[in-house]
Amino acid sequence: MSRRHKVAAALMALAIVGAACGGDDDDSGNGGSGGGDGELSLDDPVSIIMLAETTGESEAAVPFYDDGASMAVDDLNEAGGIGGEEVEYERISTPLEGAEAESAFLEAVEEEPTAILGLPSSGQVLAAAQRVGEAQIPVLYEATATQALVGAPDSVANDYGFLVRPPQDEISAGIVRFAVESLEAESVGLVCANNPFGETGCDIAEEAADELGVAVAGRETVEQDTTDFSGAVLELRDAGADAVVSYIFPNAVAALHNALAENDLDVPHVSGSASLIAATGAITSGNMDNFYGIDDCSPAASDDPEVQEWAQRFEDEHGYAPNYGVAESYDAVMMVAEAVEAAGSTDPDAIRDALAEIEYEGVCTTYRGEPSQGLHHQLVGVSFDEEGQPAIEETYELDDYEF
Amino acid sequence: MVMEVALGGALGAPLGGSPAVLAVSSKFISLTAAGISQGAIVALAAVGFLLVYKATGVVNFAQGDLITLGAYLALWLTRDFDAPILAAYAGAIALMFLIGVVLERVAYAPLRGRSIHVVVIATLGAAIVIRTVIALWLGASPVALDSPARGHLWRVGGAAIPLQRIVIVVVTLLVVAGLTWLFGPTAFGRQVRALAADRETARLHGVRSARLSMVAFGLSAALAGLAGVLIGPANSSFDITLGFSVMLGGFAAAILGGFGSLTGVVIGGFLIGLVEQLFGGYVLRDYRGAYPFLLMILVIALRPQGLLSGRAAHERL
Amino acid sequence: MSASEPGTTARPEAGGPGPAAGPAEPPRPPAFRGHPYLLILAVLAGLYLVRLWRTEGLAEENLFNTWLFMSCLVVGFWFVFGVAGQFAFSQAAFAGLGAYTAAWMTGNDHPFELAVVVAVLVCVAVALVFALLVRRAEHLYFAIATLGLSEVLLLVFRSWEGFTGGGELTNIAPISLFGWEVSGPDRDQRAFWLFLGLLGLLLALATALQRSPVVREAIAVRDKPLVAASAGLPGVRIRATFLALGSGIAGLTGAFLVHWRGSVTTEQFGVDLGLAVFLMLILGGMHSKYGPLLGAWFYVYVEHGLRDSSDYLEFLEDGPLHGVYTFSENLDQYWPILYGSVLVVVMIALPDGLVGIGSRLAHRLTGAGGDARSTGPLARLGLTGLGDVAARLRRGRAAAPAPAPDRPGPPGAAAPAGPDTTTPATTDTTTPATADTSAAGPADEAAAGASARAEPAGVSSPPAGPGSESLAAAGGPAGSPPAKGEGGGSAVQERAPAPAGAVLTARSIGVSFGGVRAVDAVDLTVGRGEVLGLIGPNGSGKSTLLNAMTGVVPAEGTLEVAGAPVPLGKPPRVRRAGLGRTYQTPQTFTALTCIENVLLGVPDRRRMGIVAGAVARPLVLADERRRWAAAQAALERVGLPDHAERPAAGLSHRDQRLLELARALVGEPKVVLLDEPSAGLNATETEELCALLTGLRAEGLSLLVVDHKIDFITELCDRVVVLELGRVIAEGDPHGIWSDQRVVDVYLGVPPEPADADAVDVEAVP
Repeated sequence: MSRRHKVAAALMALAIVGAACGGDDDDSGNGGSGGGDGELSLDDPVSIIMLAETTGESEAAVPFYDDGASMAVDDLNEAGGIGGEEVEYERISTPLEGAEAESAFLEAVEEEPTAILGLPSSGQVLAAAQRVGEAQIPVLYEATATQALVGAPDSVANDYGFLVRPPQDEISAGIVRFAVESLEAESVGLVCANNPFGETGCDIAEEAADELGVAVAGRETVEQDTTDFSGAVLELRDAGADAVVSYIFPNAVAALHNALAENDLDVPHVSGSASLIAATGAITSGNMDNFYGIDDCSPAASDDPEVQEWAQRFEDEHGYAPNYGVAESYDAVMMVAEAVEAAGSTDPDAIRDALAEIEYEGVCTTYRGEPSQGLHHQLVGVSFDEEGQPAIEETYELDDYEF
Repeated sequence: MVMEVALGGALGAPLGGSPAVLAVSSKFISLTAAGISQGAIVALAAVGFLLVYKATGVVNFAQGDLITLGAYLALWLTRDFDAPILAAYAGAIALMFLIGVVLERVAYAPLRGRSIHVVVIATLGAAIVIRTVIALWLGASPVALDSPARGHLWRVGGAAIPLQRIVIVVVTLLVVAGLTWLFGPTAFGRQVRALAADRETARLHGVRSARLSMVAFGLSAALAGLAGVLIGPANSSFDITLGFSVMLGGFAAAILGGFGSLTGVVIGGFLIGLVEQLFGGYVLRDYRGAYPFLLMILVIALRPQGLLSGRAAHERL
Repeated sequence: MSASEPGTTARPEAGGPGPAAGPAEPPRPPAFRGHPYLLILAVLAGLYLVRLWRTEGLAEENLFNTWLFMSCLVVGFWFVFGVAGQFAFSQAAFAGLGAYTAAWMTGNDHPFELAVVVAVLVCVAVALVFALLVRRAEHLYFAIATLGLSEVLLLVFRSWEGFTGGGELTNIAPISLFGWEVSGPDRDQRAFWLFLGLLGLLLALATALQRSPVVREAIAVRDKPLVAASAGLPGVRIRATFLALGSGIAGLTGAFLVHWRGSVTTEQFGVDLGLAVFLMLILGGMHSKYGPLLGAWFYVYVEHGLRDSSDYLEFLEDGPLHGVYTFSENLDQYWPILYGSVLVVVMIALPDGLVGIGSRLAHRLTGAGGDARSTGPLARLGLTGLGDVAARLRRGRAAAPAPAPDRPGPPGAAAPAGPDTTTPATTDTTTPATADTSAAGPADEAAAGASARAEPAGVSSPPAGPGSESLAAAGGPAGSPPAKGEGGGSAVQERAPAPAGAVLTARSIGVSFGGVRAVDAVDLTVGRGEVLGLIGPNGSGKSTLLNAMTGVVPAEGTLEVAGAPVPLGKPPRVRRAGLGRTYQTPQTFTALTCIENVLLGVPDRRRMGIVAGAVARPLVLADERRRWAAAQAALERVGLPDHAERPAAGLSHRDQRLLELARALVGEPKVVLLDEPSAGLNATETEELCALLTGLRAEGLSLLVVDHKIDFITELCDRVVVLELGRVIAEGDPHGIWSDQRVVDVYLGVPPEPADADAVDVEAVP
């Protein structure tokens, strides 16, 4: 059983890498790399280190990053590796706490990998950013830290850090945009967690509503572990909100959505973490049709047959449908491979340069390098069926990030 | 599915009243209900550690994680064995009793007679282990636990009160009544009071303190299991941090009530819930989460023996 | 307290060149011996060498710096918990407060030096306010209050955007101390020097304070707060001072942390770190200031190592477990289980923490002598004392300090038997029940233990006294009073005229415990140079009356000492007014030496504070010399001239009583209240005590003596007051009092309760 999957994986990986290489040849065939066509030979094998926790290592740890990246590495190696060498992959357990994340990053640096992936929390990115600049190894952050982009307010950007996810500011604005443009809201109510994520999200939402010409019915701040939202919901109901957008953590999203139905505020609810909660059975109010999410991408709902096949293969192996985190981890590994091919060597600066102008069609989105060093320029608005399975309602293509 | 309850004029919001009045009062009712149910949750969490505290003098800092474990055990029984929901609750509570006994044997009994600091650290270590085991076994992603009352609402004057929260209030009151009886005229109660008064003498008089402490840990863990299967469904979804934040409120409630008093902890819990929801619903709402703890510090400053008890605080501890 | 230095544990015992060696030598107060700073330098040099040899690469340097940083934070907590015994979880939150305050300052273009100072001051101020608010909370109560404070502070960090930017700050300026910046390519090296220096300063501060009176007093307040208060120590102030000191250090390290790291989030100062700080101190060993280093090492390195545990597990999979068991794919995820289990195992195996390993080794090497256990660094550093606190916490009542099994001195074999002290008046009090008890308790330890256990006689009744210590329980009403007390009529019979020039006048003293009148409107007067005996059956309220007059139980009534009114309920005020006391169960501070015990009672409290201890050493030294001379004189006065250097933990029961008396005498009291001074003493010892007390009376001191040995009372006292059921039923000449039928009834008519272990003392003089 597993062998058949591995064969399929190898074929799939070949197809993806092949397609990517093909595209790349067109773009940068005259990039001066000595490797030339097809047969790349490297002095050192490509090595990739993932900085993330996995299930059980802490309360918030999730398996997505490691699972996605491992699958990509397996696929690459099934297809013969890069430059005739197997890709080496290692995960270093990286706590959320800043100082410990910094330590883990430095540990990774000592192994002199070709590239470093991960650091999925913004706090980790902020703590490690200065070291990233000093280490001069390409790093693909799987976080949404806007400050990691060149030119952002309070930026911690440097030449080597790239953002694989869309920045939080764009997600926050996208939530309001989806509520207004697709769900036809005219007066949105905001629910914000009492932490930087929630407060910044709501600030941006207010700006976005202003730009879109709709009213903000109210802004309710809640503690991050709130379980009872009736107070906030009643305020928004009385203020006449015809859509609710929330910037809160997944558990709270479900509680809020149930509270909306319980308190007769039957309006659409859009959240950034909806897809993490939709299939858990936490939405008990029965009005899944008012529940919407904004995601980086939704591979499980994709209508692209190749992505569908990939998603199925992942689910067979890991027992759960891949989400954007899995897809982006997979893509990040593939992008490193792509950049090595383009650079024709494992020289960090050459890889960095290749990443800076990459154009890569992955399972999540089509990534493109640009001056801000953000790679991901897409958001999807999703709805859910009664089982919590997502369906893509809207796809937003984003411009280069400028501040 | 929804129980509609007609509202009398006595509540100040006649159905024909102006929308503003209706809105204000429905918010007030809603917040009051939220406060009471939050208080019951906190009290239910606290009685578990009070039981062990009264019987052994140990404050078990792993109690919050035992609550989490209870909820996850019920989830496991429904999910992997398709057990009927109430049977799963019963199974989880029974398993929790055993786990409590094991915990006592492994993490507490070897430390009997040691400094209280050592015991606290050992319970903290046990908490880490429990949390990790849950995460490895059932995952750290948000989960939802079913309940017969889940999704049902009780409507009062424009406010909707989830039935699960009413169940919690009722069960909490029943549990406290039961424990008050248990600590009263029963043999268990006499032995516990004997131990509390004078451990050495009680032992000389034949109180088997080792068995008593095992029973106390078992019962306390079973109570944590009960709290877990009730609090779990009251949250739309939860993860492995379910018990910890509830526990902090439980400590505050216990202090408000005068540490060791079962009635006191219920009243303390209600007070905390009402202050956080009502006061926090109208004044300085960003700082609402701090109110229970500010209240607690205030009580320690002005009336360290607790609001109910007539004795000095340190005597009990 | 210099003896916390392992380097000084080898100092000679009494009989060596101690202070008792001769008057020619200038007195050397115990707080000023040794050269502990050399040890600190050795530790720092060792750290430097470890880093030089064992640390390669950025990750290890960073880890090493994290270790040093955590050590600094935990040394701060050592002051709070290790020295002052305050069960606090707030250290991390105070580090956060310092961090955000300093970041706000530098963010507003103030220099880093000023930012650090302000951060420390803010933390100290908040800690002081908090400590005063919760001044009446102890132990777990205090712990939970600090958990609450942490939650409140974290919420403020998240919510107050103008101050913390909502909790998330980036691009914080690097540390810059007088032009020396921790930045650039060698900033890890610089950070190392910075934290090494900080650690050195903190250890030096710890040493300076250990060599000043303040740590001695903090230990006393920690181990026996009520006894310390009765000795005149300002407990609340001492506890608040140490919480403020530790929190200020937390703020200092927090300020350095964020400017070293360059960014900050609220999560890093959460309850997790608060618990971790606690963990580090306990793991490392709370009785030594070097414990934090070891605990932080464990926390930083063991967790880190376990996160790489897949290496070991893979080794198992390939080796011993090959084909037997396969771990799941992500082996690292087992680390928290291992970590939690290691914690539990370490706590079971090493109750003294990692420092305990070193102490045990040192003991193995040096501990051949008979007194080695009790003079070992652990005993010296308060291990026994904390054990006592813990025991009391668990039991909710007192435990007598267990005499060391190998303690010197004659075996007190004669206590119950002492036939030569019998008097006709008391022969009849022997009952079969008490005879049984006495047969079971052959030595003075047994008597002491019995009297310690005596009072809460009814097993099912809750402890009656409101205090956390034995003195409150002792003499409480729980011990069932004799049922046949019929003397309800005239309370006072043939009242002897109160001597002229009364030193102590108590009027209408009353104490209630939950509706029970333990002491009911008692009037007492003690004249100058008079010895007043206070007798009465067990449970008649004698100890409670003493506790009421010294302020450790709430009471009504009025008290005058030498004509000046003294408010009830404030032990230090009572002490200063000239009322000294001793206890039914000897209350000595086993973590201290004898002379330090006595020093606690010296009324001269100049320059006893933390600031003086840290910066004004010569002045403190001068004060300490004067205090030391007074304490030594008091020791000589009670007949313990050679005991100054001995640890109080190893004393015989008799010597503990004498030590207590010395502590009371050094306070230059006008009157001393003695609670059963002869309890647990054998016949010879009782006679010696009687002679000693008679001598004190001859020097003009007034005494109020509670005792059960009637011949002792008869021989010693000028006048006797008889209490029953909290009331004075008779008063008069010690010989003549037995002609009163009520007194005889009270003493003879009622067989003592079998469980009434206090009867041991009554029949000890059969």
